[in-house]
Amino acid sequence: MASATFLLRGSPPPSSTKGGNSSANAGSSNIVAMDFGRRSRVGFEDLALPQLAALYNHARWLCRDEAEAEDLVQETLSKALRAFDSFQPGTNFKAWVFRIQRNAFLNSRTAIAESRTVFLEDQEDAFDPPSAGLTPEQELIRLDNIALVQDALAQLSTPQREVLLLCDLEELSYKEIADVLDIPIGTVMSRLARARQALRKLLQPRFGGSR
Amino acid sequence: MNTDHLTPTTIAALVDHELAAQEVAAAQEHLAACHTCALAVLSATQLKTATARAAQRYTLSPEMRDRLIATTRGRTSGARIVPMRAYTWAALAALVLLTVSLISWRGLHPAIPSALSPVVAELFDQHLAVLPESSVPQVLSSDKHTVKPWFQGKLPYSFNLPEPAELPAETTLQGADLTYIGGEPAAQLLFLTRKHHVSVFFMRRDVLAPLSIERHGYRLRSTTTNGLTMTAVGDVGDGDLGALLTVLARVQS
Repeated sequence: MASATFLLRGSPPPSSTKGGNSSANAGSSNIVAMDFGRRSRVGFEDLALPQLAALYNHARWLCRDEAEAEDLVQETLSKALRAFDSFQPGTNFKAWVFRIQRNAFLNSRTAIAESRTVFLEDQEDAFDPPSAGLTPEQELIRLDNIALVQDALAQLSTPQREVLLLCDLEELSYKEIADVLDIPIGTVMSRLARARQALRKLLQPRFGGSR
Repeated sequence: MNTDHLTPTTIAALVDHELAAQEVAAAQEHLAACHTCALAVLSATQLKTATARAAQRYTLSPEMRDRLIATTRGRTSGARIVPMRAYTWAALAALVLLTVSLISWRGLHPAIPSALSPVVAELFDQHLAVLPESSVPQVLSSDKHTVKPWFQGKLPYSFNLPEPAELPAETTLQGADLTYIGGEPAAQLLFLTRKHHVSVFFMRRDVLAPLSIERHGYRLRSTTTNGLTMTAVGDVGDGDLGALLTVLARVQS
């Protein structure tokens, strides 16, 4: 299987970068404290403040509530500040702080309520088939409707939505996502594939006549 | 050239930039010649781009940003104005309404001590205080014409006593004490009902609401009549206390 030969990114040297499809906050997605010497000069704020918008956006998608999302980011910042000594220079601060936020979220009202919901197990054989029968132009038109895609994202289960956000929006590597979510890389890949499959399926009926 | 189609996993890894350089080169070589795989990669890329664009949905307001920055600077986060939801407002309105109603009601109906009132405890205590043999009534007489005048000038009100024959069977007046209940002067009439001591307190009206309770083997029964509150306490039945109070109430009118 092809995946067995992947050289997964996310570990030093930090020369490999994600390029290509840029998102609104792509410029701040790879903030890395370079070394101990610089770290002494780069304060917590210098690393954390550029991530505020991303942390809040992610929190809103998780909590679905403005006040709860703000509380979550506030708690995340407090915990991150207290644990800043444990941050390893040379690693991705964004992945580190997202992991803290994710753990804080697990104790939130929303997460506790959702914990009663049983999600389908991640399956290793899940894959992401393209929308057969649609031309790239047709598919582009379909995906160009932001509101529809947002609606579809909102309908995904929380585990699927957060893995998509971390990968496609926050541009974390598979390994970093695995660290944030505390799951194996293989599960990240299968969950991503399943999430994308679900997203396509949710978008499909809205254009039922286009196939 | 590799003629095998790219697997879905490889396509995903390609668009997610998870392939090593040599793997990317191999994939690109295949894509240059395979229309099917090129379309699949294009489709996956479009979905990823659309997801990223749609997911960038919620923006941070300047006020919220300031509050969050304050958190990192060790300042209290208490300044956050918690959004008031509809039910919060409703609960607040209900609380205000309840408070206003309660104040108005208390204004119209002054509080009357009930069974939990300290007055009740004082009455029980005062009755127990006169039970020892060594306790002698301040006015020792079974004659109403002696007892009643004794209270003149001592109480801000007057009361009547029945003739001995009007009292319930086997009940006699033993004497009386001037006592203080709730910081106010009160008359404590001492009766003997079938060898059981019974105290009847005459107090001003509204000192105690009409009630009947039992505590530690002693019963207390209270009634109001003609501007007075009469409370009987003793280790007899509620019927005996009721009968005595009925006679006493009758002579007040």
